[in-house]
Amino acid sequence: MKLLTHNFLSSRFLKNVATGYPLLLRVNEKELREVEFDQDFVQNIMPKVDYNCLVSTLMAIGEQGALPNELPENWRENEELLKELHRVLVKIEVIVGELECPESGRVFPIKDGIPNMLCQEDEC
Amino acid sequence: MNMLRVEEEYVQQVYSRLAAYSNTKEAKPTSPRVWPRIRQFLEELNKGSVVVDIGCGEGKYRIPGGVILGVDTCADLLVKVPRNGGVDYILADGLELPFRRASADAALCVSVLHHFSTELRRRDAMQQLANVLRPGGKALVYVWAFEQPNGTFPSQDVLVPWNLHETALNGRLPKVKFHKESTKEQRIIQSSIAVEIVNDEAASCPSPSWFSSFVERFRLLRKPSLDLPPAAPSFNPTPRSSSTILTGIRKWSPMLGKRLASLLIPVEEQLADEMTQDIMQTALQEALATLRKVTFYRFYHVFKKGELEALISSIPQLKVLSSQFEHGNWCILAEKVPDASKLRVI
Repeated sequence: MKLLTHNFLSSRFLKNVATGYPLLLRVNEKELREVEFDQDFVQNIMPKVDYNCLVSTLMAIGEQGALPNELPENWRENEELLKELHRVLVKIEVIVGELECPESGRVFPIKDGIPNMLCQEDEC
Repeated sequence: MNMLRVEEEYVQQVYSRLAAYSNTKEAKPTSPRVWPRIRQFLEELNKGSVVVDIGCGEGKYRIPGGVILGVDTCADLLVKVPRNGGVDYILADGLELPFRRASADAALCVSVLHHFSTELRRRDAMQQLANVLRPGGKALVYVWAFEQPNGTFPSQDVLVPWNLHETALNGRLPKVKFHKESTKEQRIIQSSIAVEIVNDEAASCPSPSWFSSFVERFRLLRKPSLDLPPAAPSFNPTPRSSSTILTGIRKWSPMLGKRLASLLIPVEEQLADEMTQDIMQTALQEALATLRKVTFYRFYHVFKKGELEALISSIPQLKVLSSQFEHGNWCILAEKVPDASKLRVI
């Protein structure tokens, strides 16, 4: 699971959960994939990304690196920043870990790089 | 949300078992066949689009410059798919899509909606799709049609056989013998079994007997005297019958017989244990599937003309842009309109 994917995941389908976002991420095993830098991709995808969720998640897993807490106005022209965004969004792969619903505390396991968001009938 | 047994048994478990016979990891990275309309839909998306693929299966779609979030309930299938970028997989249910609201630029739901067993659930699935789309986001939905050029379904709710001897092995379709005036598609349609899904809306006012009586209410229409076929063949082996089958298998394939025998012998020693039956059953099923004589049944609700359009139009946030009949499927392109509750009526 890429952090880009994590940025879209929510547990709002659970009973009595309003937004279920962002899901707390814990990582037991991760990899750094070789993905060629694509400036256009980062520039096009960033408007869809919730930056606060990205930064708090990076902080939680110890990967914040040089990313600022707030996205500066001129981020589109800052190549260093675009490269770092590319690294955290698509190069980091979470292989084993878990996601936790911020409201209910329900934990969803991540195995083989795949988050398991299935729930029981009485949970939703 | 109730998980109906028909979907569990005749959709999810069958796909899990079929996953065991697909060699995705070893398959050559050739580009799989993508229907032209789907290819066009994906190509026309803006760069940097986020696409949710509901019931993605092996996840055969890619979009250059964008990202696909593939959702499926079949874990056995997802873990076999090679991770080569472009698609990220999530194990989740189409009725409980795990994405933040209004976050996706587009959604695909190809050959999935017809596996939900009731109208309420099919409508729920479309509502979920509408919820994850951003306003202006587009969806492409394909379902199998009741109206077929090559045959007639006995009912709209059917169990359709999937013969393993006609499925791809190592990425190649084995040669299928075509009977005179009968295509593979015709044979599948003709041998499908009509079933009756009793309206499960009653489930929302729970009664203790509802679940246990469901199997009785889900019954054959055509031949009421027959029992439902199992989703996959099953056996209740006794030492005698299993050795008979084993002998039969040895005749077919000595290698396989040998492999099976090694599985069976220690098993027979502890036959009293209930687990042995499971082990034997799996072994025998695998063996027979290897011989490709196994038929799996999947549940479908096949859509009549206008039905998909009416279903999608019943979701206030979705607007149908176009509707087509394509190779035995109904296909609809829809768009999410801004939330109706936020619009001011002038």
